[in-house]
Amino acid sequence: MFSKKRISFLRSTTFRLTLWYLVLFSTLSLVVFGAIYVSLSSHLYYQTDKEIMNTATEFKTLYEEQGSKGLQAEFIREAASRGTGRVFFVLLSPAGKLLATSDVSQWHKTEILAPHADATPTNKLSFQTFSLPGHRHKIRVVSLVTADGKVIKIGSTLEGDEILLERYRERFGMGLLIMLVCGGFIGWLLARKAMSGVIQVTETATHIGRHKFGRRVAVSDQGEEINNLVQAFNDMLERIETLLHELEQITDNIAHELRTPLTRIRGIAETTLKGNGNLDDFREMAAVVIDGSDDLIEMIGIMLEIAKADSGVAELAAVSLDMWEIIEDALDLFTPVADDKHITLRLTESPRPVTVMGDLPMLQRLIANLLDNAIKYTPSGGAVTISMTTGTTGVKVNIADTGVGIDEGDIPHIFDRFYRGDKSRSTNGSGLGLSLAQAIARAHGGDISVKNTASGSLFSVFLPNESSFR
Amino acid sequence: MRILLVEDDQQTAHFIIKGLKQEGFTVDHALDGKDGLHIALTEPYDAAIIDIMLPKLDGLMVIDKMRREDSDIPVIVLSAKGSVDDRIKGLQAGGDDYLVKPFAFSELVARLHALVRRSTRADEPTTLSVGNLKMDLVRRKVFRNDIEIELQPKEFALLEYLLRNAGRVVSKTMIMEHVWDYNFDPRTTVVESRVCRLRDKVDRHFEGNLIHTIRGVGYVLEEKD
Repeated sequence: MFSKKRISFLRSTTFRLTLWYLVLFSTLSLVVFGAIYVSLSSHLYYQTDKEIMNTATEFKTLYEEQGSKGLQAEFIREAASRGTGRVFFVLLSPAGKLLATSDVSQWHKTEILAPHADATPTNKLSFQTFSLPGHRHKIRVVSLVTADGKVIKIGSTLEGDEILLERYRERFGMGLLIMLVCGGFIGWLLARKAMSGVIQVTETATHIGRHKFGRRVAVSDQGEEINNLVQAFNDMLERIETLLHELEQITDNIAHELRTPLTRIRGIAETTLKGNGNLDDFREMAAVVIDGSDDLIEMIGIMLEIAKADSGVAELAAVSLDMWEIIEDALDLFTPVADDKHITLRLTESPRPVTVMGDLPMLQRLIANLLDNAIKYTPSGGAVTISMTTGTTGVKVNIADTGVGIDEGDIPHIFDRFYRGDKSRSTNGSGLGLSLAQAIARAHGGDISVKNTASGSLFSVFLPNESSFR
Repeated sequence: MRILLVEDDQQTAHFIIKGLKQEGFTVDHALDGKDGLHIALTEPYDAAIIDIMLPKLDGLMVIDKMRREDSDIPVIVLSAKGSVDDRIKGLQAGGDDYLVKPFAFSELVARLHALVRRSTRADEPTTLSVGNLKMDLVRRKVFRNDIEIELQPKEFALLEYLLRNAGRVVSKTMIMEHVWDYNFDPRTTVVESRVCRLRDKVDRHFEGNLIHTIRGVGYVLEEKD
């Protein structure tokens, strides 16, 4: 029934869960990294700006106190103390002429040393960032205009900040890679653990499909969801097993019930053919053959009727019907049979219309089967009594007999197909009449119950009324 | 009477033809729907028996096309399916009656007679009689040798049905259907009991039995020598 499917790894839930986990995990990590990176770099640049701004302000004060000569000496001292190639200081005239300068041999003069493009107002600072050919790192330049219109320009390399940020990026990248590998592995382990219950159920299902339905998936503590799955699966197996068993039983019974009339048919045909019978013998044979065939046709018909009734309300051609009329007709039909057996057949109440929703032939059959059954098991001189009670949800038809009653052990099986209690084995019948009656009652949304009374047995049919139907 | 049979199963066709000929019908046989339709539209028939499952053109299509061509031959539909739905489909397509396989042959004959009678619209008789048995349908009275026989309503209906089919065998199923409006045979002795009572009243005190049991098949009302 099942074919073992090789689950493609890329399509497996385990793989998909792991992948989702990794995507979410790395996205979150990148967001956190980005936020830290932005805040760190802005902090670093702010620090750098503050430092060169302070220096510029100091130089301005010095220039105002000591003039360009003093500033020149300070430029050289300060540049040397900060290290070669890291900073430059210049003092420019408004026309761009160099008035004082540190060692600017390493700097690309024209761009950096040009006065600031905008006319920077006095005492105001303006910042610029340059990338210079031959320099790996960017240069931050601040311009400050003195009171007499000269411009102090300070340039400082961003080497330190950039190296720090570069390190940060490298480390984070490495970290993320390690985390993704470990996380992926752990995520895969977790997903696999979560899925192992499912895999177990699948394996059992596959195995059961090939072998026996008696097996069950072991309930282990795999978590509520998996346990529920296992439970549902086991319940389904239980039902399948019961159904298969019933099917086997019914098939056996059908085979048995078919054999009896077929043996009769075949037997009489064979003996008549072999014997030296006259025309009357052949007529007798033909009659038996027809009778046996009719039994078979009837049995098949009832089986189909039961199947149809079992398929439910949807199949019914339900119309408004008067239940009393159906009962009276059935009573009229069976009165001669009951009279022949000296059984009193009676209604306990005077007729009154009681409406039910239903399929007429089916309800006729339901009542006829129950009456037939009651008359069959009531000995001569007994009585079969029909009464009806109406409630808010529907009507109850009670058929009481003064018959042999039913063994308590037979009661749960009396409606099973082909079931015959010990008491009924000697009478003829298909063993399907009560099954059909029950199937019809259920198809109408009702049911049949049976119990023994002091005098015999009582069958009660409940049928919902119009408002409770469906 | 001339009957057209459209049936692809040779054995079934064989037994139907044989039986109908015994009953005095003339039968033409077509093996598939296409031939059947052609014959039905070119030759005059009193009735047609058409199977649903047919090669080339299914039975319902045949009937449908016949009705479109204004052919009003009464048709009995034969089918192996017995559900109400199938019955309705068969009748909707223009079939006049429906019979489920396997069927009692006598039932087919009775239904054919009923159909032909209906289509020729013979005047409804006011009395029915066989031999010295007379039924007055207007006054609802039954006489034998001019002696009135008291019958209960269902006994009257049963005798009326037997009289209307006088000389033809009617099955228990047909009796259940026409007298009690039950379209199933409960396989109990309900019909036997009723016929037994009827016989007591109609035959017992008179010379010559009219109601006869054909074992395994049903009952027939006729004068026998």
